[in-house]
Amino acid sequence: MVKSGENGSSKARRPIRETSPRRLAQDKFAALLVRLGGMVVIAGILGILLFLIVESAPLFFPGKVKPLLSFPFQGARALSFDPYGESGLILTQDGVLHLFTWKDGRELRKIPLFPGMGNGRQAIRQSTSALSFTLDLGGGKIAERSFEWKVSFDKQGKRRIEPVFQEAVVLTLDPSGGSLGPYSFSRDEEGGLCVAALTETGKIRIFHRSYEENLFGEKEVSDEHSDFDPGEGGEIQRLLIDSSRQNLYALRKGGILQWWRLQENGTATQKLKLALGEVRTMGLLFGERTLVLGDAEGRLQAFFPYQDQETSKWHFSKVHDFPKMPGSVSAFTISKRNKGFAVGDELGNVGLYYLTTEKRDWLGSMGDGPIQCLALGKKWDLLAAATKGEARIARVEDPHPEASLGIYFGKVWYEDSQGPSYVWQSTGGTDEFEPKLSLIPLIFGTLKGTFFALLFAVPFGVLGAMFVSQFLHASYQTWIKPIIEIMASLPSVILGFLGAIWLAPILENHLIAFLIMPFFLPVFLIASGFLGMRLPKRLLRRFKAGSELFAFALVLLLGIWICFLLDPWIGSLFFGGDPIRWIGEHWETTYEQRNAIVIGIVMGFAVIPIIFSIAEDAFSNVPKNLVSGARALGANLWQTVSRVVFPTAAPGVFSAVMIGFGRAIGETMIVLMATGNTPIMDPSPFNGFRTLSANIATEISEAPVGGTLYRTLFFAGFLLFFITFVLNASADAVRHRLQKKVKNL
Amino acid sequence: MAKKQDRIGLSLTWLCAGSLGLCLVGVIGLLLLLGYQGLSGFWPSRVMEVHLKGGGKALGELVRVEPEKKRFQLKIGNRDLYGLDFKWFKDEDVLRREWPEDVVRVERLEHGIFLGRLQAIQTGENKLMGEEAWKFLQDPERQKKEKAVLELVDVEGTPKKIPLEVVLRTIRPNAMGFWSRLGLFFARNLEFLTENPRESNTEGGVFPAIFGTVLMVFLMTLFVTPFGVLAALYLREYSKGGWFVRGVRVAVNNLAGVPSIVFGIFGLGFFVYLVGGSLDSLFFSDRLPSPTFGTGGILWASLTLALLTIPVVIVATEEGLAAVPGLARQGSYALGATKFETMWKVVLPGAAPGILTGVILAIARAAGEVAPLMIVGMVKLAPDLPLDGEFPFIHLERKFMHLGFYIYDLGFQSPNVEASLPMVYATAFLLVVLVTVLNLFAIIVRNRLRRKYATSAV
Repeated sequence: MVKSGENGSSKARRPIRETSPRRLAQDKFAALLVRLGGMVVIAGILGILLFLIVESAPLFFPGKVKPLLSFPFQGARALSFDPYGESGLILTQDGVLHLFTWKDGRELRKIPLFPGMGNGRQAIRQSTSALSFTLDLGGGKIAERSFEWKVSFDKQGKRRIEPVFQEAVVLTLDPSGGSLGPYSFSRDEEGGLCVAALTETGKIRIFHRSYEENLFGEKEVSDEHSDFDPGEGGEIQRLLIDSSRQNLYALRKGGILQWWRLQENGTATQKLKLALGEVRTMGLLFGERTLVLGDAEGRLQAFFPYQDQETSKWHFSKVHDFPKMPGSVSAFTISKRNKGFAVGDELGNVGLYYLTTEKRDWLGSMGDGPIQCLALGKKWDLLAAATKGEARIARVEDPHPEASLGIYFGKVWYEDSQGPSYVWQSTGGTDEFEPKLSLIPLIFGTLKGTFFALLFAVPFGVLGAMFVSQFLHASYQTWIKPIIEIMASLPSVILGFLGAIWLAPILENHLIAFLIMPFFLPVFLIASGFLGMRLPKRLLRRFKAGSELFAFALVLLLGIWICFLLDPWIGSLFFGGDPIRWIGEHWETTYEQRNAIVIGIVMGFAVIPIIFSIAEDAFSNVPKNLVSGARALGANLWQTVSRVVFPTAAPGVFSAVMIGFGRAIGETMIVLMATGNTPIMDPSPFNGFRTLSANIATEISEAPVGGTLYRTLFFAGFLLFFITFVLNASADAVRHRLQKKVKNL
Repeated sequence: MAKKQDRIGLSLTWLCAGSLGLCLVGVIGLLLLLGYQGLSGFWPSRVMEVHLKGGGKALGELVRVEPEKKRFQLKIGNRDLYGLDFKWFKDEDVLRREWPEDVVRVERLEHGIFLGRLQAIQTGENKLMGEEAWKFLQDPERQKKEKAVLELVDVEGTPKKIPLEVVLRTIRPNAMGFWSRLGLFFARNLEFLTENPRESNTEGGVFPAIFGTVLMVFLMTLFVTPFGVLAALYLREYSKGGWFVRGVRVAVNNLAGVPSIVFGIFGLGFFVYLVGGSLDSLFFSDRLPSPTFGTGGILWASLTLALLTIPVVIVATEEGLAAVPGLARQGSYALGATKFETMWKVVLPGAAPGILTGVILAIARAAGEVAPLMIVGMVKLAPDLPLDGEFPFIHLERKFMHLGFYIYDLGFQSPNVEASLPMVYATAFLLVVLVTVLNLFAIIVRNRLRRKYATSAV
């Protein structure tokens, strides 16, 4: 290539010509194109990170509430939205329901609730399935009326929503005619009615009316009731029964909360001394498992009963504390979509809370003076609040109330569980399910898989690299390195498939063979090495340096075969012939076919070539003069390697391990295929786990776009990106420093 | 004392040798295992007739023997008669085993294989019996002319009629010689490569998966090559260096270590939902709410993989650019060439092997990558190829089949995993061969480049 210059100089001098404008333009254009192309790629790389952040950031934004409408309205006692948030009901003190359109606050209809039934104590009960109103008629009788929203379409296909009221039902709780104390009403999903009431005799009566269709398709009414003694401990001020008729809560004088578990074989009960002031509101959240109390000082606490897994006994406990409201609590309502609720105080403030996160997503003013009543839209999208003289409607923008850093990384006490724990369970069978989004089991699984893979890969990768760079003849290197590169390029789907379909059954049938290999093989190898030394020296000298590799490969195969021969013998000698059952009996763990050992071997196999190639680089970059110097001073080959080469290259080996770590963390297909993918936290090598990456792969296709699960998976992706990026970048930095240092040696 | 140290040193050296040896054994063993398992499914195996002590009989191909549990598994076929393809037998129950020559194995379009004996063939008006019937099956010309129904019995004598249209191939496996077996072996290999899958992917070929993989990789190459080369040119030839370029280079290097699933969710969120969703609402609003581009497809898959593999191309191209000696550039400038001309005529041709290496490595990576594709556009069975005679001929929005995903899906999601195992192994072997050959090619090209670099740098 340099020759062309000589040709040029031999010719006669020509006048220098200007570069033509066309060529200059071409050059400028090309430079622009290259810069642009380069910038596009760089922007793309930054764009990935940016996109992951943009997609997961909304999880951590606080909620927003934007006012829509306010209109004067006197004496509201209760509010309600229809499922579409277009119209709603306001109940006034005089027992009349007013139907409104929320668009402009126009009143459409007035419906008297209990016409001609007097003006006794009224109560409103919002349960999961219905909104019900009750009226104490006196003399042990209660009238109940409930309604539901009916959606119909007219001829033009326009949607109409109307409240449809049932006839008022009169229940006779106390046939003897005694007046009732505090009572609580609920309606179950089948339409049955249930009342818990304190009767004059001082007992609590549980009354249940159920409807059953008989053979002729008619509804048959059956009433039943039972009494029980609430016992001593202060006057009962309030009662609350859940719609499953299993839990009854009572507020007693002196700040005592009592809970009863109403079972067929008697009741379990527990009393709690409340750390609250005067209790103002008391309500059950969506799903009717959790009780939330609000007090006169603005404090809010949540309680629920739970069953002990071991003793199967029921307990009741305070579970969550929430941020305080500025004024004393005056109104409370629940969301019928998630575990959220809204609280109003006497200063006109409203707060949006979420049970699982224990967080207040929004706090703001919704009126002047005490908030009388509140309502939340069906989709956690609307908020209505009424003060003495005004009603206000606002739009709620809080798409991810169930997400917070505490949820992802902290222990959370979920409903139905017996204590705070790390759980990943993104979807459940019912709408009332509380999503459990702890990333800790997934991070644990990721680290577990990585640990077992590195346990296998680090010694093999590093020792193998050392052998290739220091002991192997150069003529072997040219074809051994490509084999390792092929190893690196094996698609992980194939490794995962072989791990799950081929290796896992072998491991299950010959567990002991695999468990003794790490101890037996090195001993066997060294022993056969010394045996090999006895071969005539003349014969040994004829081989190139490193030829023992092939002998040892054969020896290893022989060793593995011996391990398999020993397997049934050791199995019947020490483990009663069935090591897997032995493990289940003697250790607190179970054996799964696709377990961490399979992952260790298969993922280790995928990581070995990565560690190998970087470590090999580091070893070969150690200057030859150091090695020669050491040898000249009388060190033998191994002494040179262990005292000179290894210490010099140690940072490179470290960075190799880090990069292998990064690869193992993000590996998806192998763990997806060769583990059971159950998000459990058990360090035992005999069972499976679920990693962050496999979790993304399995759940993203079912996650609704823009939903909390979708964004949570993006957040997991961001974590993976971030962790591997930091690992690789620091490994890079370590390597660069090593290279600089080595250059100066 | 020195002697003892020597011994420890020697032992450790041997451990090093053993580690490397085990790696080599692992790689080669894995390739051999896949080769054996992948190809043995095509080899026409003999059919065993088992006489049981209870008086029953069974006919099947030997699939697995478990000597320690004293049992073996036969593929008995005849799913339409027995409901199950596979059956275990205990050694102690078996009276004797035979390999009768008159057993026929019928490959057909539905219900898997049929194993039994040929009684007669009903063609039009006449009925061919015994050997006559067998001769008819060997004569493709006669089969074309006449409509026929095979009258067969299974091992117990249960009659079964199979119309000739659904029959693909009838053989007498126990009567075949080595050469006819070999012929059938190659015929089945060819079938595997060129035909569509049948019977929920447990039989037939993997042609759509091969086609999908190749087309997707081709599209990806179209994106990744120009951008990868431009980025490398920018980093090495056009940028002025400094902290920014250093940072970008670190970023590019580390991008190669970012888990592929992360690219997958990026592709899903950005390409499929954001870009695809906007395209849909702009151009295909009449088809909404069923998405056109707003769902996984071959375009998004190849773009995602292009992002995934661009670091490979950039790094290899940079290496290629570095291999072009500075003197060549200076000579070109001295002759009055512009920077563009120098790049186009001198540097890029010199760096071509490097670029080629990068592209091949990218292709090999893309061919084996599954995790991101699971999310952005693969299906277990694509009824239409993304390329056909219908305008605009290439349908970038279509879903496609991919060899790697096929392995995952068939081996783990299919209802009849056991029956599909030979297909999975064969697919795995095909994929491994493809990836290995591509990589070997890249390694050879790169080694030649390095040698050239080594000499020209002197």
